[in-house]
Amino acid sequence: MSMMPRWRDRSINQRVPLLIAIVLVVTVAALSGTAYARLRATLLSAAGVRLQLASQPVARSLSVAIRRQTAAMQGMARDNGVTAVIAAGRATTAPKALAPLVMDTAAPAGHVELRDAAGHRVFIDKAARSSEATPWVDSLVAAGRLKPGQVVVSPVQDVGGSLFADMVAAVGAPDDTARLFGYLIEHAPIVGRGVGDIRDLIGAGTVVMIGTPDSGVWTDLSTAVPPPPVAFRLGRPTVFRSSPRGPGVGAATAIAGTPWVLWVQQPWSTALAPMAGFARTLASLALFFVLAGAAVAWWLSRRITRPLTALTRAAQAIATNGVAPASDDTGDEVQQLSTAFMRMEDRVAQSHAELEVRVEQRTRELEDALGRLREAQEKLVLQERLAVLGRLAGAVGHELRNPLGVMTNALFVLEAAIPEPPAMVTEYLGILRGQVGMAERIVGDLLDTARTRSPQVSAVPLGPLIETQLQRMGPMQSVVVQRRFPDGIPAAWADPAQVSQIVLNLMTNAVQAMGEQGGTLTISGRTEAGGRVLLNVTDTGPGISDDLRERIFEPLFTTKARGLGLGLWVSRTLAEANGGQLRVTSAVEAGTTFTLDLPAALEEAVV
Amino acid sequence: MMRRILVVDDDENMVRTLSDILRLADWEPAGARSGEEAIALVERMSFTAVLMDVRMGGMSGVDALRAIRARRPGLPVVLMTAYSAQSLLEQAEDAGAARILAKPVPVRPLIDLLGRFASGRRTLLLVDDDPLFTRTLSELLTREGYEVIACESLEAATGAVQAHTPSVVLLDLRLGATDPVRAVEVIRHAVPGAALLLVSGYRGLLDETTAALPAEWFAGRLAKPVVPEDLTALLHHVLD
Repeated sequence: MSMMPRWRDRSINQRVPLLIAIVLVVTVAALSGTAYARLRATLLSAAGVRLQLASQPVARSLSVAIRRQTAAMQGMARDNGVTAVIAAGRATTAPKALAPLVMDTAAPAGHVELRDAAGHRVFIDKAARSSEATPWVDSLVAAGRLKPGQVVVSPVQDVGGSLFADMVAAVGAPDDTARLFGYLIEHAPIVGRGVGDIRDLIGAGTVVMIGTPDSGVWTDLSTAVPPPPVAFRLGRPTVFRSSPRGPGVGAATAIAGTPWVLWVQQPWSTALAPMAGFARTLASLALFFVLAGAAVAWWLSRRITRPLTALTRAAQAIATNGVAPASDDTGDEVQQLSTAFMRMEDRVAQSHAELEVRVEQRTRELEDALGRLREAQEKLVLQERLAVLGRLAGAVGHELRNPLGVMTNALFVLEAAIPEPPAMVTEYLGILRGQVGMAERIVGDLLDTARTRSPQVSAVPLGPLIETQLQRMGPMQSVVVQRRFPDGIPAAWADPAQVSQIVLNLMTNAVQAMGEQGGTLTISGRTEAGGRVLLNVTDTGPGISDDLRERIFEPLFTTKARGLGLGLWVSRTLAEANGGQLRVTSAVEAGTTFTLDLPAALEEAVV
Repeated sequence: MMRRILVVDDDENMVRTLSDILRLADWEPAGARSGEEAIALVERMSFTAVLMDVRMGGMSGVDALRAIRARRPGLPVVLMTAYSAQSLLEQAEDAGAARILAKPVPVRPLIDLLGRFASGRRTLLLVDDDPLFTRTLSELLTREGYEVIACESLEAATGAVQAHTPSVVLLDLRLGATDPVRAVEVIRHAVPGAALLLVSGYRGLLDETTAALPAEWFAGRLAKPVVPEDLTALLHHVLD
């Protein structure tokens, strides 16, 4: 189940181009919109101004034409023939002065009139047209306010579907030119001339009309047309939106000397024609820019995200120790990198910690190993030293044996050769013999310890062996010997000579420990599970304190005044060489027991 | 009875003291300070026994032993050793040392041993399962003044030498089913130092056996039937 990822979590590749595109679109749209609007406004106003300017000459020419006509009418109004007609009250032919006006009757409509001051028609040039209505003239005449010499132009009128304009000149009396005598009226249709030229000059769709704002009647000089669609102001172009013909630009110019206004208008399409293509160009450019911008943004973001992704993958690999990349794809590339990086950081810290622990462990192991190595080295050095000493002792011992042998022989001869020696001679011979014997024993001990043969094992019955060794020790004063051997105790499986040596050493030590007071020497044996036979040598001597109990097995260690201190060391070595052990139990004032633990012979028990 | 003994040691004091001890025990000691001197003396004079140290400067005791045994097969040589390598001791045994004693040599046992050698000087051990041969030879030898111990088997022989120390052994090579070389080994082990004379009626067997053995292991050979003069001559040669 995957939810729609949040915007923030989308890929940079998606977001950046999109954002850039949006920004570009907005900017470009805003800019181009603004540009377009301003351009359009400028063009419209320029078009308006152009219209205004274009209308002015037209209005002027029209104005000039009207003024000429007005002036002509004025002149005609002063003519005697005209006043005579009015004075007569009637005429059938036009006075000569009106000839220019009358000539205009070639037109399909319109006429020239003369009225008296009361407003009664006195003359009309075309009797057929006497029915043509002239409401404006009628009202003007009825008002009676004109002064002689004044010429008034009417607004554009729509009379029965046709457009007319009236020109009224006030005639003064012949004798009193200041007195209103009558009126000269030209009632002429409005005929368009040259409007098409103007139209084409200004541009396609141009509408030209003349009219009077008050009357609401307008004409394009051929027919009546609807009035301009907007309230306008003279002399300023007007831009308008809604009209029957759509949005347009218009300009109104007053035609001087008339109440008329010249209105020129143009649709926007004409006004904005120059920029017709512009909008398209702008739009396509904008689109191009947006797309190009988006493309560039996308490419840029790829350039960013590609190394980001690679970095992320590397960091993830480190974080998971290359096992499997964590598929945690929440967040965009930067977020993922950040997450992966933090995880990697954790991993590195963890590895660091692990490493430290391992280093500590290794250091400890190394220290231990170093310690052990040093111990082994010391032991080796000690062994070397002892081996050398052993060899030295052996050599010395052997060398000593010769002179000792000679001394023994000499003593023998002395003792045998002197028939009745004096007491002192006997005594001293005895001393010599004793000392030589002691020296031989020391040498013997020394040579025994220096020599280590490999055991030549056989079944060794312990009972007889002990008896033999006891005999070798000779008589022991104040020492009671107890033997405790149960029936069925097996023989030991070891080298007999070496076991004898051990037993002799243990028993000698026991007797020496009990000293002059003597005591009880107990020798006992028993079997033990696992095919072993134990031999215990117990004395009732002063015992051995705790701190000395292990030291006694060290070579060259002795508490006696005499002796080399090798006995127990050799005994233990021999015991171990025979697959056994030598142990001691003792306490101060409680005697001592040495236990010789040997493998038992598998044959039947012999004690 | 002549009891001359040769004491050989490069230590002058040892020779002196030993000689004095032996003199007290009714021996007539002569001293030699080296193996070469000992050999020369043995050639010149006749001894009942030789007491020699194994380790001497110059010629070793074992070499001297060999030389002496070659000249006087019936002369028991007792070696004294302080401490010698196993191989040296084996060599000494092979060469026919009568006994190898460890130093320091206790005086009394030494004198007893030498006494036994002296008394066994004219004792012969005859090992033969042919009773007729044994009887006739015993009579012959007894008349010559020898003491004869007759055994019919190796077992009997090994038992007999517990009590006696013969200086000569006459061994028949055809003892039951026993291999002759094995028989020789047994006798050598039981009676070290004695002069061994191989006897056989089968010339081929005699030749074979003597060829298979080191020369120093036996002192002579006799073919049956034994010519008395040859035997006595041989005995003289061996013992004197």
